[in-house]
Amino acid sequence: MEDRIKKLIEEYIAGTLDDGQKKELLKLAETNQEIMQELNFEQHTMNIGEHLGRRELKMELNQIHDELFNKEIEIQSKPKSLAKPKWLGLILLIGVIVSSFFIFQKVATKPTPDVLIADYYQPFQLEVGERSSDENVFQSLIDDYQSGDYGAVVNQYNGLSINKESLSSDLLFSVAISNVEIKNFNEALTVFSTLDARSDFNIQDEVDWYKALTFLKMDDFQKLKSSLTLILEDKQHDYYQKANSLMKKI
Amino acid sequence: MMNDKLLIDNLRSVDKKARNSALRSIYASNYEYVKKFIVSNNGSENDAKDIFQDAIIVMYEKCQRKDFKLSCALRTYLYSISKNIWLNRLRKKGKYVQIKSDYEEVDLDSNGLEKLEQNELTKYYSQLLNKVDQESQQVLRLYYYEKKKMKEIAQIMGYANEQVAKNKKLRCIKKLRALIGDSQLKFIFTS
Repeated sequence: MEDRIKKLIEEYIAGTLDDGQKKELLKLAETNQEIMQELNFEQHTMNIGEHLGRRELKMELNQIHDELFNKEIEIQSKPKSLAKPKWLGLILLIGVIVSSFFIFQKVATKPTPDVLIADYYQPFQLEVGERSSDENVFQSLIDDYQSGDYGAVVNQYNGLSINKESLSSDLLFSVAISNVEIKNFNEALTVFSTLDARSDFNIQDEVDWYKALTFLKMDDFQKLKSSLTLILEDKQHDYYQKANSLMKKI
Repeated sequence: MMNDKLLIDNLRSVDKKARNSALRSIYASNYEYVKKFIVSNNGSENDAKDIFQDAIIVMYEKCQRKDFKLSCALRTYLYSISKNIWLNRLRKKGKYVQIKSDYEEVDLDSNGLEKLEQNELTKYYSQLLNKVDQESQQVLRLYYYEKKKMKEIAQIMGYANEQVAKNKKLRCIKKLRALIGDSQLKFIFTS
């Protein structure tokens, strides 16, 4: 689905579209099942957000009411702090010695970037769905990517005369990866930034992970660490385990 | 005591304490007025509590809109919303009463009130939300209900930056999309 249509849908649900745009969108939705489904989903999402907000606010107000007018609030006594056993210091000391040993071992056996790249980097497998309208148009770009001819992908992309923003996120992502493969790292990061701005939930986790790997390939460990930190903030991230494992090795 | 403008500003604040303090102040200084009105118009104390809280919710939602401007005293505004909600409830119950009112009122646009009454989907959403973790729920609430920007959400939730907040929101939406799937609950969209 085009970004423009997605934006129209979001604005329609938020109530910020003017009458002309509303009519345009609803006319499109009448004949396009995908747009109608998206509208329906966005409406549900907005309603769920409102439902959550009202539920929480109501609970807060009930609590205020009780505190102001009714019940005495039970103040739970804090559990008494436990007395520290005398041998705690000894255990801590042993812990420090053991962890120092492991840290030393880890530093001594720190893998090189090449080893890490071999362990963690694989080109993204492009799965082309039936949803997007532009896949047929760009079939040769997809074919080149899937056959591993990344230079051809980048050449084709650079030669496109259309607005590149209109490419589906999957295709754009394949262009970013192709740039990584032929070591056009800065171009790859530019395309990743475009994808970041899009916030396409279907591919955002991949964008986060491959952007981190791009920094790994660039030997930019500072940016690699901050990219991994971003992934590690979210335990449900698709690449959490891999990011965690890579972070421990750098 | 805070003045009306400060109360509204605090209701919009990302600081939870300031927000809660404003709610408490509004509650303490206005509840008795609304209770008196409800109780003297066929309602119970429980009705008064319920109606007053719904009125605060309507007011709170209006406050989050950038274009909201309070054109009368906060008390008058809350009292008018409460009265409208109560009249709607009575009408729905098929009761007609001669309303007795001791206080000044203002005319209101009733959108917020109607929205609040549309709770047919509530059960469905509660079931869906049982399958979504608390943290994701908070992010959704802040984005869609409190109308906070990603930067503010990151600040409230203690995330390193707004990208983390954005990712959390995307993940939650992805999950909701899978849960909602081909829901039979379809909306009718109008221009």
